[in-house]
Amino acid sequence: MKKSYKLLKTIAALSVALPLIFLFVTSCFLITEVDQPSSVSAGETMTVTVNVAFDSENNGASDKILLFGMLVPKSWDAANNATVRYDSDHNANPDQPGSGTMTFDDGDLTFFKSQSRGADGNITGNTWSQDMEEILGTGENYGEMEWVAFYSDNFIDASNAAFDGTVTVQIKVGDQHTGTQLAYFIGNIGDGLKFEEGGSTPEASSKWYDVDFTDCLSITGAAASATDLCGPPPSLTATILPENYLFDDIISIRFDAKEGIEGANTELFNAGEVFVCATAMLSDGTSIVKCDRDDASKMTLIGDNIWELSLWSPDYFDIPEGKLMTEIHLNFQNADGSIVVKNPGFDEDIIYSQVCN
Amino acid sequence: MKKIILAARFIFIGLFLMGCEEELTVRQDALTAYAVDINGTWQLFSISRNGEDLSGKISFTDYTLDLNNDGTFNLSSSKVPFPTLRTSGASFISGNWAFNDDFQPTEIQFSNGPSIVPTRLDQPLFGSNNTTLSITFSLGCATNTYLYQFKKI
Repeated sequence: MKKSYKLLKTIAALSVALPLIFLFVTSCFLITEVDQPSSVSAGETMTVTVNVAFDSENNGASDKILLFGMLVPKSWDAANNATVRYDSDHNANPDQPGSGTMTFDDGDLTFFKSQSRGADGNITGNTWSQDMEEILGTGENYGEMEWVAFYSDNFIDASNAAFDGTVTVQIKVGDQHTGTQLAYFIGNIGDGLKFEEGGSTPEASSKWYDVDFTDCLSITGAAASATDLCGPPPSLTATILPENYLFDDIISIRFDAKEGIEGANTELFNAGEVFVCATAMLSDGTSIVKCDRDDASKMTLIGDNIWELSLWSPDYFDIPEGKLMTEIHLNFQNADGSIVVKNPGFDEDIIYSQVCN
Repeated sequence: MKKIILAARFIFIGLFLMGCEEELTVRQDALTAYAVDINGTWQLFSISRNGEDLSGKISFTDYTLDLNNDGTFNLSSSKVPFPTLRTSGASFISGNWAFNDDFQPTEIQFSNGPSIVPTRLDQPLFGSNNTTLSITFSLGCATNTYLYQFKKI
């Protein structure tokens, strides 16, 4: 009797669970367009509209919980500064309409909506945020980004339907960066990051979801110490003193030959002489290069493989009257220029902007 | 010769431990007004930034500041940083100079047309100190303070 009871209990449990499991079967999501400004002001609330095409491919797909992901700078604190909603004309079932609000996923894995599904469609035990970063990456940003997820508060009746809709994001833009690449994900929690090519919307990165990395967003009015996430990361190889400076100040450029890739020494470790190769970027888009390894650009050894050169930019670069300097680009060279140390891990100069807080 | 009258108000208070009834004494010269002549050519011999001596790190050999009797000034070069030489504002190597207060100056102001650039006197100009001129100012970011020390030649 006990076994029969258990069997009945199992069947009863499955009869409840199976519809939920198969509720979210095949479908296609396609991001057709992202309407995002190319430039915003720090502190402004930016509105982004993500246009989405959905097709159930007539496979009997029924109710779906919409999953939306967004790649944003961590400093924007999207959890507290973003709202998301979805809209469409689809209204096959008034109880499960094609429009509604979405909730930020706080990563509580005891809640079924927060349980991420990986590339094989199975629950991974991770949060959506973790799996989106792992599988989708962070684009051109050098770091300091996070994927944040939102799920629809209600089910959407998506049975045998094909319709267009929009996801609208409102998010307050932070002031810690001058540029960043944002990205948007659309899918549903039943399939998550399940990957399969093809379907009726082959343009989508997968049948089960789509993701769109936008062009780098320019942010004006950011803090003086703000960094461009679309550029190379800050480096410990070179520093500029004092900590706060404008290019009218006397600045001291320090080069630490011990700070190469991942903490290894640079190629100028234990070099006998080190010279600064510097480029002044001007506000009119022109530049002045001083890279002739002359006495003026020769650095002084001030510590254990630490070199320093103090200069006054207006004279050092002979900046024409009326021109303003916006950035200094640096690399470091030995006496004959056969060794050049740039930003470790990147084949680019180390870039510094004015900082004056 | 432009003469500047400076009142040095140094009161030396004698605090004697022997008793409260001791008389206070003030040196006679403490209340004397001195005339200080700062006109002439001043040669830069020291630069520091936020207390760090940059003298060996920035070249300023033979750099001079002329403070002329007629109220004009001249810098010997535009290749050494000076608060009147800015890419982000007025830039001039000559013009007029004046104290903010002829009797008790705390600033020297350099001007050229509508542009006025104040610098602070780091030390009062004593009667016995008319061979050293120390001024402090900002070149760019206001958080940075520079001290230039000149000697009269």
